[in-house]
Amino acid sequence: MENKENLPWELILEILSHVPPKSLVRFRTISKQWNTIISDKAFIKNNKTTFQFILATKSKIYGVRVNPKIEVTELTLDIPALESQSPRQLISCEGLLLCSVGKGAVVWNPYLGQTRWIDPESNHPIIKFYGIGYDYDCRYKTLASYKKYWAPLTRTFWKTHDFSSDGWNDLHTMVLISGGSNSSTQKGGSITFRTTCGVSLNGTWYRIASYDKTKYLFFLIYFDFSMEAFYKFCDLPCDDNHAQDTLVVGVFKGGRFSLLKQSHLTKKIQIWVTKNEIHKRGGENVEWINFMEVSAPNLPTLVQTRSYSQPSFFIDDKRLVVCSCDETGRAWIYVVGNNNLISKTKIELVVDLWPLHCSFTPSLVSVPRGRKGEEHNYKFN
Amino acid sequence: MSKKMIVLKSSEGVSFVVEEAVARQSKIISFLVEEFPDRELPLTNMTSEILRKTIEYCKKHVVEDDGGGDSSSSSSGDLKEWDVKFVAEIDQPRLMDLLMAANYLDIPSLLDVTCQKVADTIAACNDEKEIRATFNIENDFTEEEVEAIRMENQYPI
Repeated sequence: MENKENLPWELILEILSHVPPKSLVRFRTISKQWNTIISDKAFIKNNKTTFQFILATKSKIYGVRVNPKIEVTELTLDIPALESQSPRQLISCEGLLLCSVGKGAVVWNPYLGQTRWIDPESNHPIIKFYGIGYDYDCRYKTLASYKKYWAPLTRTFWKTHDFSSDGWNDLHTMVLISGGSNSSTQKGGSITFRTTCGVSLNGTWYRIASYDKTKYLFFLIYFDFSMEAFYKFCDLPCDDNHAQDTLVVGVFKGGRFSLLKQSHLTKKIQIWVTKNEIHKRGGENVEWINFMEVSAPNLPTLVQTRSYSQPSFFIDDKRLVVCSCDETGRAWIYVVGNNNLISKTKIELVVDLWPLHCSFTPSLVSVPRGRKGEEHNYKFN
Repeated sequence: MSKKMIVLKSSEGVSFVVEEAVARQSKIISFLVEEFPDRELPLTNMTSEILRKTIEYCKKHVVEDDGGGDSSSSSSGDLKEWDVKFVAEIDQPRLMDLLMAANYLDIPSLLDVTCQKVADTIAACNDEKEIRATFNIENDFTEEEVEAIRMENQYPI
């Protein structure tokens, strides 16, 4: 290859945005300018080969890009076990995917094509995986739970898996410490999680929950991977909640939270976002602002109670983009904005019913092996 | 009804007579045609060879308006196939020229296919020196810095 004239930088950027991230990583050593751009989160996000939703069926995994035309790509995951067993859960964790298969789980960065297995201890009851995070020492861990056959079904036991030692640790305490003014008082009261999965942000895992005694007053709790315990984070802005309402939390603009609520009765969709970036220790200062409220008559039902299928979503500028199953189990992409349903598209390529799905933000974070910042692991800022 | 023609002139002074609808896929030409109707448009930084290629692409991609609304001359699947063949037949230096022409004339779809072709080539390339030569880039890293980045990139086994 040769080039008699220098290409302007904007054209080099345009070309690089067509190169799959997996190849791009190799080009970080070309020059400082290339290293800077390839390490840029926004640049990776706009890459022409990336996608915003991942869907998994019993035999296949797909990437969906809303561009704004909807492009669906079948992804390859070189794990033989996946061909024979269908994934049970698909969880998006800051650029990594956690996909539970059989008794264990696969951690996967689809851009880098890196995967790693998490195996359960032998003869262990079935484990449910929740999310990936890291502790103060930058050790990556996975949070999981299980039921003991002799304990009541309402009781959940927690454990973490440490990527560097590949060992499991059982958690003996599950005390919820309330935040805010009376942070010194501990509330040992039992809590219930919403059926939606949680969200990972800056190495911490958050989830919607409520106290059993105040059933529909929801708040966020987080799991601290250093203390290996749950803490209350902040209250949610929505009230007048019902059991069948949709309530899903997501990441907004990289460092903030977004909350999607759909009333089961009226189909009205509301979106809140936090005013500022989220810090694990700053739960009491969280301020939610109204971002969108849509009550058009043609809105789809985002939650299917039959399969507990919950929507996944992201916010793109002023629009809400949702992936959700209809009542027959087929997956759709809905774009909502300007107080209206802008478009709805059935994902024809995904033939199997009730696919698992999650929204996804691409990153070049390596699948963790040891401590973050050591060996192979780098995190782009 | 006869179609309106316009004249584009390459850097060597060769004139190309093109249907206006074909040429208007370039946003720049579209603008110039409105500003300066009935004039030859000189494209002083495009060689005849590259201009001919660009016109060939635009002819294939023109959306004919024959009164019955928009109807593309080919189906989108065929077009895609045609695009792949079109860029595959061009050697690397000319491909770069064509990419720059697409950028200069502001033809987004042509810019997209040419970028994709160059991107595929560099994605398949394992030689850093070749990449640097392609883009005339100087290596401003020290060996230690390169080593540090390589360590970060190492795939965990």
